[in-house]
Amino acid sequence: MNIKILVCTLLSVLSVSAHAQEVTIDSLQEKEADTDVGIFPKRITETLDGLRISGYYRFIGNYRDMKESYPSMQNNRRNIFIGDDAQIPQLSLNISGRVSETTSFGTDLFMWTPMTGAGQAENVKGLNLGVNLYGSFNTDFGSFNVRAGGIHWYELSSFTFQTNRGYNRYSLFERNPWDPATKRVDSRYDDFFSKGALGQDRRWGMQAFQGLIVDGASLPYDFYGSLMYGKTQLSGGVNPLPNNTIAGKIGKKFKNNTVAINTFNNVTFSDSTQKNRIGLNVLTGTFDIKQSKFQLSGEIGAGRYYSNETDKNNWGEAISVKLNLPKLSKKHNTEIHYYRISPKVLNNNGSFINTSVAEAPSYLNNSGNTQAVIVAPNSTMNAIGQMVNNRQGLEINTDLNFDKFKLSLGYSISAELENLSNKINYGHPINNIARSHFYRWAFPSGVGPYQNLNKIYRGVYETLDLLEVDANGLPLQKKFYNSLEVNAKYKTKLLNKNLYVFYLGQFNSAQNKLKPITDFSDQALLRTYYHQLEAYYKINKYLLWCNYIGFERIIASYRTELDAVSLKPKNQTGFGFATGFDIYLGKNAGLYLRQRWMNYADSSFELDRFKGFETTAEVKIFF
Amino acid sequence: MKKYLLLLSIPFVIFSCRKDNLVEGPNIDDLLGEFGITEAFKADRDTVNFANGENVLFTAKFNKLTDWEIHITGQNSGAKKVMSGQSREINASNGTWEGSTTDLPFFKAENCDAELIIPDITDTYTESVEVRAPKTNAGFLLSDFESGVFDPGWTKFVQTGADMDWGIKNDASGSPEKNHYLNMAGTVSWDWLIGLLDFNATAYGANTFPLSSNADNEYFNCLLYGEAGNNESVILFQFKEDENSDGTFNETNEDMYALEVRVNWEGWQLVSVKYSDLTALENGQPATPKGNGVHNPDKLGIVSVLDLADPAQGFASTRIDYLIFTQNNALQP
Amino acid sequence: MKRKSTYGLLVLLAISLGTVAQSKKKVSFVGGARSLMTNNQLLVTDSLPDTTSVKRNSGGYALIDLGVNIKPNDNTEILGMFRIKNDYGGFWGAGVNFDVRQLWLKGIIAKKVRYQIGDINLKQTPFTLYNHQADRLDDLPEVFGMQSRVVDYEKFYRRNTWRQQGANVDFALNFSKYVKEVNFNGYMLRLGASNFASIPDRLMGGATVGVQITDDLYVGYNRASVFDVKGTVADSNTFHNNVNTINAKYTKAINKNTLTVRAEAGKSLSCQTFDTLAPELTDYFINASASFEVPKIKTTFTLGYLNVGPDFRSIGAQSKAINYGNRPVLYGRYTNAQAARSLSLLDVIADDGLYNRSINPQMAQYNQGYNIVMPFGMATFNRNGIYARVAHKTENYSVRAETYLLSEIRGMGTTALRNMAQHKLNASVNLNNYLKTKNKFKMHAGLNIQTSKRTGASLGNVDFKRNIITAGLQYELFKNMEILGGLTMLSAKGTEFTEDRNDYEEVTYFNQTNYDNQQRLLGGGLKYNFTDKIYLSAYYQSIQNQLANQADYTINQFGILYNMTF
Repeated sequence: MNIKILVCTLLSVLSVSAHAQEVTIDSLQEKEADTDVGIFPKRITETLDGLRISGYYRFIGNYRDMKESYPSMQNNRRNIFIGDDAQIPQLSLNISGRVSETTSFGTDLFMWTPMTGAGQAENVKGLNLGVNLYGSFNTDFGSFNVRAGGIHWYELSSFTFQTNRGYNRYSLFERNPWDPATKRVDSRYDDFFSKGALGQDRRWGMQAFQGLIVDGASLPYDFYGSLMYGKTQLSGGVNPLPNNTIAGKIGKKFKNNTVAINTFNNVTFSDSTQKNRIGLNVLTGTFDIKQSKFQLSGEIGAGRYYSNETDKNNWGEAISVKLNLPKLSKKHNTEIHYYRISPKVLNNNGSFINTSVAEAPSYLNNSGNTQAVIVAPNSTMNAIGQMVNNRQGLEINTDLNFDKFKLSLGYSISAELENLSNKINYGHPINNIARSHFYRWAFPSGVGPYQNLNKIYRGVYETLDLLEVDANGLPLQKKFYNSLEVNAKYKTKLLNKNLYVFYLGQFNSAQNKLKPITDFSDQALLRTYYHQLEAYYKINKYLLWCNYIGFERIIASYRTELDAVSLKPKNQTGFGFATGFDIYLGKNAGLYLRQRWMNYADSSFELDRFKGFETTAEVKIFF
Repeated sequence: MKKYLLLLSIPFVIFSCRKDNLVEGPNIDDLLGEFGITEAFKADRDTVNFANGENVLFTAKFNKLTDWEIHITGQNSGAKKVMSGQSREINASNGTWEGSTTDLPFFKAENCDAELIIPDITDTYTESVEVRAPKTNAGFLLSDFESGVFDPGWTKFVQTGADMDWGIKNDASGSPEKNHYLNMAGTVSWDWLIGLLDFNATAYGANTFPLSSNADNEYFNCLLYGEAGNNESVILFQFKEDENSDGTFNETNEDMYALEVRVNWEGWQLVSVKYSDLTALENGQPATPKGNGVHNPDKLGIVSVLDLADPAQGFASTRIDYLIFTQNNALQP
Repeated sequence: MKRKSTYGLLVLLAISLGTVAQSKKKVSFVGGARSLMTNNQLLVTDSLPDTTSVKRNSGGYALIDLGVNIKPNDNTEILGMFRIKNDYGGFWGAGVNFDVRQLWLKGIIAKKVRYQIGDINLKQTPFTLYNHQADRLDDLPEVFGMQSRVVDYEKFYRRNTWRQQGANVDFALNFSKYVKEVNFNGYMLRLGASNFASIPDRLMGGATVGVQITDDLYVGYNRASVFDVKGTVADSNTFHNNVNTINAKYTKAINKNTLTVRAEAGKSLSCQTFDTLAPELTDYFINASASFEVPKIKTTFTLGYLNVGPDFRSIGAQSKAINYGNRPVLYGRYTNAQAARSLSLLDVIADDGLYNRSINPQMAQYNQGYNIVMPFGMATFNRNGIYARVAHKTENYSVRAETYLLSEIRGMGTTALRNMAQHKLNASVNLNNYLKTKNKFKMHAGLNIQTSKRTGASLGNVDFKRNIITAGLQYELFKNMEILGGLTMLSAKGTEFTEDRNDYEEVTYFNQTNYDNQQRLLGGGLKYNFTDKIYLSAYYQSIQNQLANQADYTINQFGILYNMTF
């Protein structure tokens, strides 16, 4: 029976096949409704146009040869290192696409080869800024921008979410990973001379944020605002233990003036079972009042850090007010800055440093796998413009501009509000980056021959212990700080070529008494003097010669830690001599060579000394 | 329209009928009803000689479908046999013990206790059986070391390391089969090899072992003992074929297959491998055989046992016993 | 007039040039991007205070799927799609994954044969190769539907297809006499690769020959066969599952109404070649329905008959999308004893980790609490009965009612047969049409009742009822901005039996289970639609799960989802 049916069916097929004609297929795309069998989707209906790729290539290599070194480096006095261990890859591709008129996405892909000879096995790939999604929409109530994913670079206000911008007094000799390519070989130095600041990339002054950011503009009654929900690099990590941030601001414009309310709130738990809540809150008001040539701006508010160990009503004040005085002439501008930040106010995402809450750094960064940033609980001696908590201070900054000569002066006086720390942190600007290269990859603390060096990103700071403490280890007196900064810039012609000469001097002291200016006497607990003289000579449009001399003196008093052998306090002297070339390789491309000789010694602490040179070659190309 | 109906009717015509089973799975009333034993648990004999082909038949009947286990334990050896099933009845199809062992060692001539275990039932049902002679296994026995000495036809090499204890032991309580086993223990800090033993076919009166040519039918078996706390022993078995029948094995142009066993367990365990599943190894990694690339058990001339351990990890200790080739199936101890 | 014609020609020319330019474009991009952040809280009602499990967690990710669509010539198309995923909280490259999400080649040979190789989405008929999505909830409120669509995207669920790897060809013949057109479709898929020891290569091959006899009548032959490739491992025993079906569709206009008759019938064989213990299962199925569409009252009536034999096995049609053996990503364990948390509606809706991407040769677990009547969709074996549907749709509202009245064909552990029923009622209303407002305002509600009853089986009697109620609303606050609300409740109560099956999928045991499960999933949120395929949403949802034999729990979740498809 079955065979009969099969034969009949075959005959039927054969008989009709005589009339068959193959169907011609003209397109790869089928009609979706043609059949309900087979492959789906039948057609790809939409495609993304305009995928954009940009980025940069950056090669950097160091060779170091030390005649004298720290004991831990005795076996590798010579060192070759290819790459930048400060999260900056060799090749970075920024990929972005516009999905609709108002939405887009972006990501970045980095590639890095350590060039140790292992080849493909060691190469690294990844994302630096992650996956970003953008959108915007207009409503009757205003216009809104949305950012999701991240990392997004963003800022709110100084006490809430921002990094310190400072007063642009720094050395130009060492290049930063984020320094952009310049149109001319001397643009970098010319801009610094003429504008007082380098063209910085978008991250300047901003903090990294991951999550959702909604910006609102043109809201009713000239209000504007933003809402942030997610993680900062200090509260990040893929650990599922909640460690989230809610922040935002709402402001209103009054012609040229603005006022805003800002808030930043972070909460997490100090235990895995989430019994102990820990976090911080900051609530501030900012204002910016412009009247003719007079400008008053600032931020006033309160903040707290809370945990099981603290009182829940642990609020403290945070004040920062800047007054730009009327310009006396076109060549003169002065700003007076007063700030006061209670030791109860903690926010490592703001532009001030925490020097008061010792337990906070480890708890608030409990999610791991994030930016390895050491947040100092010690008292710090810092550059003018850098605020710290548990401190009030007054800063006066003045710019004097003449045609070929420019002078930027800074004055600072500050005092601790409570005597909480028996340590003082201070930096080593001379040979700072070369010294940080002693400790690659990680950001270790408590290193060096006396375990008092701490690496943070591209710098090293040192900790000084005070001897006069009570039974609890707290200092007997408050500390007072003074700073003077001089940044002189001179531009001239030599053999009809541009010559730029910059000098940066910093004079700081910490002592137990209020002093009007830096205490240059041995009454001070700590004195630090830094001198950096630089000269940049444009030989031709392709070649620029760079030169650098640096000198630092750091002197501590006998009321600070003493060496066990010499029984003397820190007495440090450092030199840095360097030369190099900037070579123009073409549009958006440059080769940068640097040779630095360094010599540093503490005459009291026998092991704290090094001497040698470091050679650096960098190629950077933007596309 | 008629032709359409005809077309539609085709499937109905070609379909065969459905199976008549009215019920699938065990009877639910059986599963949920209260357990009762309707015919007592018993063995059909008090003594048994497994070597003569005798078996012990355990029987019992239940009032419902029941999960059951019979545990038979040797009073001297500690050997254990477990039989299990889900049925209303224990009978010849599921309750016959032919002398085999589930948990090593082998049963010896000894008294054995048999216990019927029903989950969630606290009553115990026991029987006793005296084993007059344990089961013998068909196959070609390389060695069970019962002679107590190394055969002069074998080739032995033992390193002069520290704490060396590499030899045949007479230990009735520790041997999984009868009284002897080969103990392999010592510390060799400069080499992975602690000792090796070659079982040459010539020691058995021929250039090759009496195995068939069908590699799918031949199984190699042995018992290995692992000790906790020591360096992990690695036993490498090498099967060297004399493919050109010249009476020697040439490693450059004849096949050598291998089996590497990491002894990472405690106690005795049976290791079995089908000859056709053996692979050529080079430094522990699969490699191309050097000869004809065909598994030829009938050409097997040497079986080497290499006792290895990581030299950096210190003292290693293991034991081996009852190396036997079986046909068609792995050894059923 | 002439001037107008000239303008028209110019416009046509511009369009043509645009089309040419488009066709010349060799590389284009497709894909999607998504950012999800969630904050979750677990509350447990237990006799012992829970001091071991974590109660709050946060998570999420941002990802981009970037597909490069390459057309080297008019007849060839290649798609390779990368996935770049960054876990929420991973800064500076931490928590980043790169994957190849899909890769395929599509083309036309001699303008006659269409082929595709690589990753392909396929389906045939509901009894051969078909992703029934049997346990997915109908008409989910949009606040939950967004998350459900993410699962669809992640697992490539689209129009009941299964994502497979292999090759597919199709071509068609036109005829001048007897029949209108014959469409051929054939595929070969690789379900699993050999491990060179015990698992053989397993392939699936199939074909559909569809004959469009007239515009009104279609008859098709379908075959789906899963088989092991002999020789890929030493064991010569191989598994086969063959399904052959014939399906037909006949449409006839009656006055202004339309009658559509659909039928499919077929037979399956499932066996192993040399394993004497393995059963040889062979059985058949019949599914036939007639639909009558009455445009005047905007209503369609359907009446059908279903008979799927107890030994009917079709791997391609009986694979389940959800794998109840998987553990939920969120709070996999809870209580002080770290007990495994049973799945809730929230998991079933939103956890893509529970779902299978492709078909699975092993018989899937099913969960009686979610679907006892047809866990494998229409292809559920051992079912016999009738079904009926009524669908009524206007511009202002729609109503859809469905009922299945089924019974077992073979008793499970008893000669008594279960009687099962499923009743569905879904309705939606566009309230803005009644309220005369411009802003869209839509409400919908649904009811899904399943019952299972077996009497006369003494200890094996069964009385089980499962209800699911859904309700949702979408209100357009202002243009493109919607307020979302949703409620889904599930209750499962009564006595049932679950089956233990051995390696041959034979029933070896029945476990009596007493259900008393109440779940309530409540959600609300805001959603902004940039386009149809791009939206941003912030939502809050809370699931309460009361269980008979485990500690009750509540999970609250706040999430922000930004989804782009391009």
